[in-house]
Amino acid sequence: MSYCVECGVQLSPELERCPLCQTPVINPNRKEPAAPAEAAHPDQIEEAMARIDRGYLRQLSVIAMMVPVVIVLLIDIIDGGGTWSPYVIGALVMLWCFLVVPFVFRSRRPYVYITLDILALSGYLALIAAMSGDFSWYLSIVLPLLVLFGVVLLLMLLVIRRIEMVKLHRGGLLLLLFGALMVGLEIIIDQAIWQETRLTWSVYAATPMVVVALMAWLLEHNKVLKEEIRKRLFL
Amino acid sequence: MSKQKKPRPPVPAWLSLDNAAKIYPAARTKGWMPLFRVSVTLTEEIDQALMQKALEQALVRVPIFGYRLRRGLFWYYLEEQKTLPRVEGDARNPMLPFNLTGGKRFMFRLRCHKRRVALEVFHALTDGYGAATFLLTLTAEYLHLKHGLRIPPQAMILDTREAPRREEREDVFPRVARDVTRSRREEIAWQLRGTREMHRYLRVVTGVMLTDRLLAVAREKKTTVNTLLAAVLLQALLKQKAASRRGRNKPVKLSLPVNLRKYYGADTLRNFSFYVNVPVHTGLGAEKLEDLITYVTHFMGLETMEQQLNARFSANVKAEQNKFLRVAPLFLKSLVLKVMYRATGERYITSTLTNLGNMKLPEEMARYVLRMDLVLGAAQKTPISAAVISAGGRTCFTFSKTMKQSGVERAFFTALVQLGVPVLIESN
Repeated sequence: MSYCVECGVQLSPELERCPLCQTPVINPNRKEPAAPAEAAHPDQIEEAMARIDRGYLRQLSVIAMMVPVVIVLLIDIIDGGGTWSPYVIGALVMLWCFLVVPFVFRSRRPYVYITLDILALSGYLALIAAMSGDFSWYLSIVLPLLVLFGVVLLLMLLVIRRIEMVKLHRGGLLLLLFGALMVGLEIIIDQAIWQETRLTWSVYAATPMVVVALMAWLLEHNKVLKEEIRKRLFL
Repeated sequence: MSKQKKPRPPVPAWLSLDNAAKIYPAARTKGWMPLFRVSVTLTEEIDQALMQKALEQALVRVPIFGYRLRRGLFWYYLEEQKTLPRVEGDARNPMLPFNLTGGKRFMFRLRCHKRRVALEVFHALTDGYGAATFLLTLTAEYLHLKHGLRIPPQAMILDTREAPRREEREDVFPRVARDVTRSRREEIAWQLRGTREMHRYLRVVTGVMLTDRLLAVAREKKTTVNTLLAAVLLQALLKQKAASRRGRNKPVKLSLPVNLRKYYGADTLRNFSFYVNVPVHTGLGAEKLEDLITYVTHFMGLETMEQQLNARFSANVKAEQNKFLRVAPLFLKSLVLKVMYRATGERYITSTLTNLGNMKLPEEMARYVLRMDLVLGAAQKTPISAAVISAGGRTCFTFSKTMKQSGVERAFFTALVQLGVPVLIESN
């Protein structure tokens, strides 16, 4: 075992310099450096996780989007009127929400992004309605459809990500939600066109989903049959 | 005969963070989080597969270690997760910040290297006592699996056959806090400065001493080991200040965490400690070791009175229970806490010395344990921290630093050598 001649401390065998004063270790009795098994610390250095500077990316994406926005605005104003640029600018903002926002914000919650996307799409369609001067189609069909899709999608995500349940129950619930989406779709369309509800095609679409969901539910409770099916169909 | 897996006892699906922990998730940044590390070195190489099994058993007994951190609307909270962590390899640069978000994110890492098993913990989960209890329980379970030993449970070694107790997950602070509070305002401390180490590299310098020798020297000086080490460290810091031209009017302040469990008979494995910042003003002449020992003894004697500690942490509990603060959304609270931490947290201290004491292990376990180490993670502002723990007849005093200069640890260890305590130095 070596000692530091300056500090007087004993030094671990693998050290070639004293960590306290950097004096080299000179021990004429020591022929080779200590075997790795005696080293107090591993050799491997861990790499820090590479982190994307999202703040910088956010600013860059906004600046990148401002370029076409400003160009389009200028051309429209110069050409006279400012008649078409809102369509382009609105579309650019909507695309930014769809494509860029999930990457430049840190939130790992898809609910936030889906809600934002629905809001962005409804905002853009509202802009088109405002520019055309007619809100009737927007209020009677577009907005209810977007709300329906948004709610069903969020519920599906909740079922997939957060609610603890067995796979067959989860699959059944998702099918029920899809069936509800079909029915809701037909109700909204019927109300928009005929101002009354006439459930027809959605019943044909939703019924098999309800049946399959029920079968999945029942199968989960019949362990013997479930095991038999799993045995026969394993990949 | 096949062993049946023990069914997991029921645990709460979620828990709120304890009072001391609430600042940590808010204070962390992209490149920093408050971590510490406690490790056990055995007399034989570790079987990682067996250590993995021991970890699974230990998590059944101490389930709070299996929780993950989640964001609520008003507060962070801990959520139970059913996945299991894996034992990892160790690295030369310990305690890199780890990812707490996403699936299967634990608030600790268990790392093995040759004969050493190390537990790196995010401070929002527990303090040194809680981490050491988990690690010793895990080590006892490992030795049981490896050698069939039955290690008798004691204060910091839990019986893995027992169910977890409610007291172990209790946030004791609100239960024992009283109405009388003390201001948290303090003097700003003198700060060490130096050249930064490599990016994300924590320099660790450990001095290994014989506990008996240290005890003998402490007795000669008519003091305790903790006070002796604090005084020697203060002396080393004062030497650095004397060589610097900055902050002449600011005191050198050493933060000494105090375990509150003995005051209230608490068994919690969550955070339950508080700190005392010992200030030493210079300009009164050379500070002799004996004077510093006397000063630390009397200062700690006053500040570690139950009433004084209670008044100080009750101020934190009162702040947490403030009606307006409680309804403030988390993002706002986090912002305010982050700013407050930056402005005040580490400005009040020059360095920290944490001492987990002498781990008295049962005979069956002691013959397999060579030593234990305690290492504090990088602080946000203060470039050097110290931690000490004793086990197996050896006391390991570890400096962890983010600066290249080694004046403090050199002054500290050479002072111990001059006092007659031989020191073996290891470093990464």
